[in-house]
Amino acid sequence: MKTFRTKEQFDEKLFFCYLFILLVGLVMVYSTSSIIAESRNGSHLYYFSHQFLWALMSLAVIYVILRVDLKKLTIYSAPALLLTLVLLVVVFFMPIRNGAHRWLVLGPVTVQPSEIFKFLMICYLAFSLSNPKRNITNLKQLLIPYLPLLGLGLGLILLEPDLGSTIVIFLTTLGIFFLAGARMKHLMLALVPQITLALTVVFVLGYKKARIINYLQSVEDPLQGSYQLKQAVLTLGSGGLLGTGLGDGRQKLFFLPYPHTDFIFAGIGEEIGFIGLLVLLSGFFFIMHRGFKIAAAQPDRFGFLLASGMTWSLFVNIAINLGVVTGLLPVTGLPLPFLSYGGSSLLMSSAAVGVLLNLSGRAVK
Amino acid sequence: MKRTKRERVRLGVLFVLVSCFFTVVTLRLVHIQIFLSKTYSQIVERQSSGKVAIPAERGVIYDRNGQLVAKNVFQATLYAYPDDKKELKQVAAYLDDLFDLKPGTARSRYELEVRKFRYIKRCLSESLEKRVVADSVPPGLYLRYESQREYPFGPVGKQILGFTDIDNRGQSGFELAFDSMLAGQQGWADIRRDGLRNVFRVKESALVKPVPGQSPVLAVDWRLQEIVEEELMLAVQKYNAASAMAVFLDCNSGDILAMAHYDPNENNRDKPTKLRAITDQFEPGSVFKAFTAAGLLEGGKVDFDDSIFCENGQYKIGRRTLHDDKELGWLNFRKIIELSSNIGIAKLAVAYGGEKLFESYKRFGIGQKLRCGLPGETSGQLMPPKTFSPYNIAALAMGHSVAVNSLQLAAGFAAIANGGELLRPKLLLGHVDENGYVVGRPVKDLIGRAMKAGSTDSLKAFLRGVVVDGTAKPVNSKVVTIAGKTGTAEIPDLENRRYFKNKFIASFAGFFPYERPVVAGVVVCEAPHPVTYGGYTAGPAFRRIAERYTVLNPDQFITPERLLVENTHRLDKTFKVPDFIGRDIRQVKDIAEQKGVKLRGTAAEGTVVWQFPPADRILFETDEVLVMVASPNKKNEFVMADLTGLTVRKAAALLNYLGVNYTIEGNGRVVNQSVRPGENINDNTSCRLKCRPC
Repeated sequence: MKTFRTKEQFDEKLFFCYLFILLVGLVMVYSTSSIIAESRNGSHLYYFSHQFLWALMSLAVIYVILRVDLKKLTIYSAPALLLTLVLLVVVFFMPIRNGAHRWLVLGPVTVQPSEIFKFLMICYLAFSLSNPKRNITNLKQLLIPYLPLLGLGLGLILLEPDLGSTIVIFLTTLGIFFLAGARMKHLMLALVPQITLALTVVFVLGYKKARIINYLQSVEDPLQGSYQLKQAVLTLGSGGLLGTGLGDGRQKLFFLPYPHTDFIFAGIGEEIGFIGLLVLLSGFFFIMHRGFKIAAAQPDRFGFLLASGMTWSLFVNIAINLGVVTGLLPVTGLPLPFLSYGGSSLLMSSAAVGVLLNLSGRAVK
Repeated sequence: MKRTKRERVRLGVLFVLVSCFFTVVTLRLVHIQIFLSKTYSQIVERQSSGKVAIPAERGVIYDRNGQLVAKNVFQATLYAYPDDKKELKQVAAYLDDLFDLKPGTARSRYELEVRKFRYIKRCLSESLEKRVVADSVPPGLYLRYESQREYPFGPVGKQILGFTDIDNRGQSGFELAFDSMLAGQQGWADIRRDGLRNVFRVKESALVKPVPGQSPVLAVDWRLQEIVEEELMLAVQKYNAASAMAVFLDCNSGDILAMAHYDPNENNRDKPTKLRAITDQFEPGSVFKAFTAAGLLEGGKVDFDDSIFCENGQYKIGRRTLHDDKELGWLNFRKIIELSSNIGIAKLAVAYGGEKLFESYKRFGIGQKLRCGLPGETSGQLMPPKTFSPYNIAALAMGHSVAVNSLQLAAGFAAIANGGELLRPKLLLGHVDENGYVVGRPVKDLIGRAMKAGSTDSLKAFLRGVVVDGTAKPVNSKVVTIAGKTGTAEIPDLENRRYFKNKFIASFAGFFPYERPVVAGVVVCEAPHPVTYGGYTAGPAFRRIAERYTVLNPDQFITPERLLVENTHRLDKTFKVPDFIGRDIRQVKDIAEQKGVKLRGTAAEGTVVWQFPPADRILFETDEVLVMVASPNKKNEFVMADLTGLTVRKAAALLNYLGVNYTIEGNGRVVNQSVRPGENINDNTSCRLKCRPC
């Protein structure tokens, strides 16, 4: 066994791909937000300048993560996770924004504890599941201590309410358990009751049944869907093959909702067209590919779980956002990693990349 | 150490999932961005673009002489559109100050809100506009100029024209009736708008250009209109009348030359909603005897030499008794009309027969709308009685149990004057086309023949007799020969279903000049007192109107054919006569050359002492301005000017100024003058002008 533990060595391709997407994100945040920023905040640079600062901080975070020994640090992930749970409670005492208690306001900075929770959860699971004494195939060991921890965290996030993050974290952890070797029937146990419950609620009790049926119709014809979905696909469609040109999108003029956050992918698609999106998608796919490759090359179970967990988590985020924007999934508010405006999302996605880069340095050559 | 097989397999499974997902998303994008791109782009185009109306300019209105009687001016409108709270505050504070409001009230009074359009004041007064322009108004408050109607003659003719509202839409009168013609068609411009429906960009060129409204030329002669309105007011004051109204028509074409009423108690004279000359109907009384006489003459049943006994003023007919004002004895037909004998006309009418008489009234348009084109015109009332009993026939013959409006009376008298043709009263002569030509040559609109041409001559002579030695002696004028008929009818008391004992409608309807009638009209006074007779109240008012119009308009009575519309002049090629008086002739020539005004003067040097037409009159390019020049050393000596080619009116104006006696032979334009141009003029100079129509 030969491992390299050099701080200088890391997956450069991954880093540059990340940097590329980050820069595209900055440009597109400016393009899609400038008019809204001008109208709401009096300065067309309002969102861009914030995002620019977050991007710098993200790079700093990556730099820091590259210089630490993750295996040692993850020992603290359990207490940190407990602290985050406290923050998730504190959130409820914060003023409501956009109809939800998602944000922790610390002066000028707002933080989304659910993002931190997601990140720490992956670290904690990697740390905990890589313990050789833990037999994951045993249901009892699978349920305790993860179920109460996860249940509590997800329950709080769901109550914020933030269905998008709940689903992302749930699917992320499910993926990690799968990778860690949990039995399929146990995993089904986690999945089937939820789905049955959801179906019962929707179709038997009729809760939001119309919305679900509407969603099913809208997959076939997105114009039949909600206003947001309709505007999103119209935005994408009007971009066509080559796009309207940078800055020339029309839909960001208050037609497309959240053009610089949740629906930025549509806004980008309008201006740079299908070709541009294909490049971006390739970038995302490349990050996934590198992530999995790094995971597969890890010398230990901890590294494997951490790398694949981070990659998987990024994927779930990206997948749900793209699914929503292209009308494949029902609308849930979720930012697109690296591209959407928003500090917490950018920082945590970047941290995930940072972790991957860190782990790439200890990959088995 | 590589990962365990299970780990690698499971990682592989997830990677397959990831790959599948990216494939699905890519295919979805192909579908949306490539196959549906065109459709979606169109929808996006539709929702982000729109049209905005561009207002069309309202047509202006000319009178028959080309005078502008309704025009458009741009007036400032103040509106607010504050962009943010800061602007809102400034705007509110400024408005508080501008309108001297208690600080803080403007905001609620004008319901100011951020990014909301609010009119503050439309049609600002001039002083306010100046102040707003002078103050640099805070951002968020703006001036915009909107087209508004202005009537250069003020209240004159307003009853015909009506008025427009603040959005320039016709509300009454001509402005309302011909609104669609005047309004034109608004144009459209493409705009872009955002999702909040804010317009943020207007494309450079209009999609559809606005079509300006047509500019009509009215038949009305504003000079006569002004005279009529003045005289009606004077008549009301002089004869203590409750109100007065009048209609004057060109009896040969049916053109409405003037129409007005005056009621001292009328409110809102600026915005008249009613033209009583066409809306108010009344029992005409004796004036109506003219139509009865027309019917009798048509029937050919009256012998002009036969005398009828007028029963010395009392005549029992059926169960009722008819009265005459005076105790009249034996009268022939002509005298019956001249002296307006109720008994005489009743006897003739009964002998003639009610049905036939009734038919002849209908031929005069009584009981029918004449459709002059203005809103609110009434039809009058002419109902056949249940039986044509002698009393019913007599009442009808005297102008009772029938109702007419002033326009009908005027049109009826116009028919008598023009040889028996009932013409539709015409308000519109045509319109000015885009090149400035007057189009729509007037054709007289014949409703029907009221009587044979042969019969009208006798009737006209009778009506002239009414003025010369009948009931309308005060109407007899030295200036113009007037013919007509008086009427003095009791006003019905509708509440008590009887007539007022001491309230009368006094009227005079007629035409002038008698020999070759040009104008027919009617003046009606409501309840004058103590003098109640039509011949002594409405009659003199009619006379003054006729006299003033004749004096003002000598040409028209010589060559009635010469009308603006028939000359299809370019209206835009007009000029305003400059003021030359007091200037040196050389300077005047320079000015004239600059402005393209043709001059006709009497001397090469000296100072201009007189000009015709006077300054500020609007003339056509082809018209000349006549100037009289006094030579510097001989102040009061003048030489004769070249008068050939001038209209009689201009030539007469010049000769009048010089104090030269003159005679005119023929009509039209001067072709020959007995005093040569350049000859000195003294007090005894007499000049003979030979004229020929051209």
